[in-house]
Amino acid sequence: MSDILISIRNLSTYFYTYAGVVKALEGVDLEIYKRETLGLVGETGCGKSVTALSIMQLVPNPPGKIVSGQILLEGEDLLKKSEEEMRKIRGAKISMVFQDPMTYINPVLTIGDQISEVILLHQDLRKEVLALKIEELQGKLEKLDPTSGTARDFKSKIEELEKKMIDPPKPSKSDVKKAALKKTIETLKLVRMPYPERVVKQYPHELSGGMRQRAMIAMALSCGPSLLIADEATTALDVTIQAQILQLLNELKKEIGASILIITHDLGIVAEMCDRVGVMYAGVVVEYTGTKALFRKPLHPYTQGLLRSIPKLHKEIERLEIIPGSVPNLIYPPPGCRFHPRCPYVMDICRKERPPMFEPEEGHFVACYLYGQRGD
Amino acid sequence: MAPRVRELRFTIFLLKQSPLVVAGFILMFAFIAMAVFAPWITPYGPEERIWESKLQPPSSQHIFGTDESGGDIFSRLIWASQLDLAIAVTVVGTAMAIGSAMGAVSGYLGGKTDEVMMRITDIFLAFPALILAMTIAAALGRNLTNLTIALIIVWWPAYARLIRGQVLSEREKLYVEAARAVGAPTRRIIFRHVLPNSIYPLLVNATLDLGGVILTAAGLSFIGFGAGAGIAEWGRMIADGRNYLFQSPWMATFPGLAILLSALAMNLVGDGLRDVLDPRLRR
Amino acid sequence: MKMRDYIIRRLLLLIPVLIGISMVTFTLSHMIGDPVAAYLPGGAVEHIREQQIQQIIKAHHLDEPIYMQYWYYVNDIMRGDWGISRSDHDRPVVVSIQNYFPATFELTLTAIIVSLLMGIPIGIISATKKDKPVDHATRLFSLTGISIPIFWFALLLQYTFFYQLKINKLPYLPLEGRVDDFVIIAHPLQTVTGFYIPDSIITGNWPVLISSLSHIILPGFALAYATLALITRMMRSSMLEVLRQDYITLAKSKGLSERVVIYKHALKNAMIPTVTVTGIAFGGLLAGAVLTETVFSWPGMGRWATGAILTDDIGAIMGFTLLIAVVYILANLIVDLIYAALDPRIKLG
Repeated sequence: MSDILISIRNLSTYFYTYAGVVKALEGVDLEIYKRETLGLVGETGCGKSVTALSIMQLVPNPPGKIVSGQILLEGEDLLKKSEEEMRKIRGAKISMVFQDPMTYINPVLTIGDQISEVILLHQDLRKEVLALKIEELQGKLEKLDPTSGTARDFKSKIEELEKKMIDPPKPSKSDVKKAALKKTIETLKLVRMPYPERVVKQYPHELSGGMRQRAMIAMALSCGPSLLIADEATTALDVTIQAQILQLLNELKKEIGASILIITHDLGIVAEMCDRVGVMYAGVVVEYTGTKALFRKPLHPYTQGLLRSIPKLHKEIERLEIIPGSVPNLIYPPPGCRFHPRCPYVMDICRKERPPMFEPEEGHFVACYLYGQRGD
Repeated sequence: MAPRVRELRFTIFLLKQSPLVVAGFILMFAFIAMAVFAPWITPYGPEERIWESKLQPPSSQHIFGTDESGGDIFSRLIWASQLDLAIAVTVVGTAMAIGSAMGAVSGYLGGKTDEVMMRITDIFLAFPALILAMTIAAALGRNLTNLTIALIIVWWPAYARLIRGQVLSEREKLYVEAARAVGAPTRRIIFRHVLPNSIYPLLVNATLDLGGVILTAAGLSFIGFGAGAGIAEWGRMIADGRNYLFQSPWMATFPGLAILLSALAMNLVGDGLRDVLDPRLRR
Repeated sequence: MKMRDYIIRRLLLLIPVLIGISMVTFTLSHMIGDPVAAYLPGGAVEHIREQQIQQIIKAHHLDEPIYMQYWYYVNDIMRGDWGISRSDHDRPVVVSIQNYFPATFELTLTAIIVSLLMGIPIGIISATKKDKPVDHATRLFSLTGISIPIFWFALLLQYTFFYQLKINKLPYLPLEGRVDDFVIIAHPLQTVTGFYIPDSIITGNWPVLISSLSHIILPGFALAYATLALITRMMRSSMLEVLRQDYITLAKSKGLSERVVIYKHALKNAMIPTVTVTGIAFGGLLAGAVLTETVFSWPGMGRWATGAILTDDIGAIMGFTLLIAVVYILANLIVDLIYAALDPRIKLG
């Protein structure tokens, strides 16, 4: 029984535009284990969000296209699935939380509606409806004199219903909605939303930014997915709210048992939340290991540059450290290693051939010729 | 390559993408050419009548047939294009100039001036264009000049509103503050900074309005305001043709087609420009 | 602010605009001709005796300063005296309005209903099948709709569906009018609402119903075409705009089907600008009504207005101008209310 939930192999996604073909992802390799939090970190435009959209197959179709690769979910290649099959997976097995809760939530529908619709779509609520009915009857039963005829009727009714639990009957629409509402409120409680019964009837503009983000998380978690993708989920929030949401995600990690893919440009978030990290640069994964290992001993020159450029509280410096040069144009990416024009250790082979992933230490992967040669 | 030139080439490239837009441009130039070269392409003059050949169906001598007084419809149609296009351009140009000026001033000055301007435009915009133009044209006297004036009066408030809106949003932008900080006078700020940034929506509206004016002017001439009897104007020709609709349908058909195609051309071009100049779509 | 309070507030705000409009009509009427004429029965202008003219001047305060005249004018309007319509057999203007307004209203209402019922679905389809043949066909259809001169289109319809069908011995649609005179004389219509179609349904007057329906088809469609085109275009463009939004991406990420994404998430948002455009299009409908009624000899306000302007019937001109402005503003109020109902972000007031 493999521990790997998702295995991305050689994923390439291109965008066909007026100016040329943007090779946003070029041969991305990544693995997400079960119940782990993986961070995907890199500058704006390095392809982190495109990777997430590719997993969900939500890459905007003109102009984008997944041109090659495999995305294996528990052994099955998602890229070979039909749209209908993918729709069963989206929201149910893999769900996503996006960056800006203001623009990503539909302004004309209530919060409750937007969460319930996921539940109603993916879950068979027959048992829940039945349970709800039994609960209702039990509530009424408690108010009655236990010896009365009515009480006995209720009791037998309850027994009847309990027997049906094995194969519950098809419920009516309104019953299903009630069950979904109950689950919605439960989900809102799960994300620590204040006054969930009230929020359910409210519209997004009536909530604060932090509450809206919780609502989005609730939408994503409502059906107990195996993978939750958080694409810059806290970037648009105030720092204090950011901290709250991160804390929420940390707590949920343990409670829900899902894997979380955290996409961010903020190394601080990575340090706080992630078990393992992948560093992306210009559409390629350049380094990939456990969080502690990355921070203690970054191997790829790019990662080293990144970590160096973060000002440290305990050191006094005159100038901020930078990585010289700028991010390459993805329409005409540099040949060989995409980082080579900016690399202080560049060698001849870097300019010609793209480095494969080497594993100089166990569990620590780097795509750099400093740590191996072709054929290792 | 200078950025402006590059922008222009990109714009032209985008415009070429849609066959409908290209068709619109071709049609537009065709009509302009028709109006400009009228004297050279018409076999007959606008007032020429050949009483013997009245109400003739289309033939080799008269491509679109003749009307009730023997006038050649093909020629009259082309002569009418001069008239209708001239009216359209005059009305839109003048309305745009007046409206923009008023709107810019109103938006920039704000306060009471702006309030008054808004109420005035409200009143004008409370009436549908045709009806207001009808009433003004009647008040001034029913001829083509007054029709043009009436249309200008009807059309300028929309431009005033448009430019005012632009000015209001541009006014808050930083470059205006910068210009003010350097000491630029108000008039200079409006004309050299704000207005050039408002060109795009202005251009789109102007093009679309050219079509609108043609339709309205023709409609007004049809019911009797504007071109008097016998004048070669598309709407008027249709009114004349209405009396012979069943026996000589060609009289009303061709002028109507002319209106349709010229308005269509304007709308296609205006639409194309709007789609292309939308900054969000230009990525 | 509650809906009711908002409505009251908006209606109160109508007053300054109405005052402005009445000033405009008042000014125009003085420009068009002699104000005395507004109160004179038609035709007899030359033979009026001096005494009669003096009477009229006294009765309507026409000798007093202009601001006093305006005051009396406003008073008259409030009292329901809107003058006499010379072009309409010297009937009081309010009576003319009562006669002609229902006809125009029925026609314009039919046109709006047709436009919305056809325009919205076509616009949606055009947007979801963007750049496919259906989209191109629809765009051409709607482009033609906003470019075609209504009066010419009306003539075209008459030629095709009346004349051509008739001479080819096929069943044909009526040429003009609102109902067949013979039919309505033989089966008199009881007035319930003042509108032919609902009244004939309510009173079970089938001959009149059939006649009314067959008469309203051609003018209704002529009038509707432009508005239908406008609504289709607006629906298409706002739908495209909405489908680009982030919340649509989120909806898709939930695994919702294409249908649900379009009809539940996108549509409500896309309707908002469309509703606004319908309010604006309403003005075009009123203008179009003038032209359509002329061609089809439809006994409505448009035809009356045209006749009035052509014959300098000042009373009528002032009357319908005021009315049209009021109707237009009320229509905009309704649009605003629907707008608020669709978009929960709008707080009334």
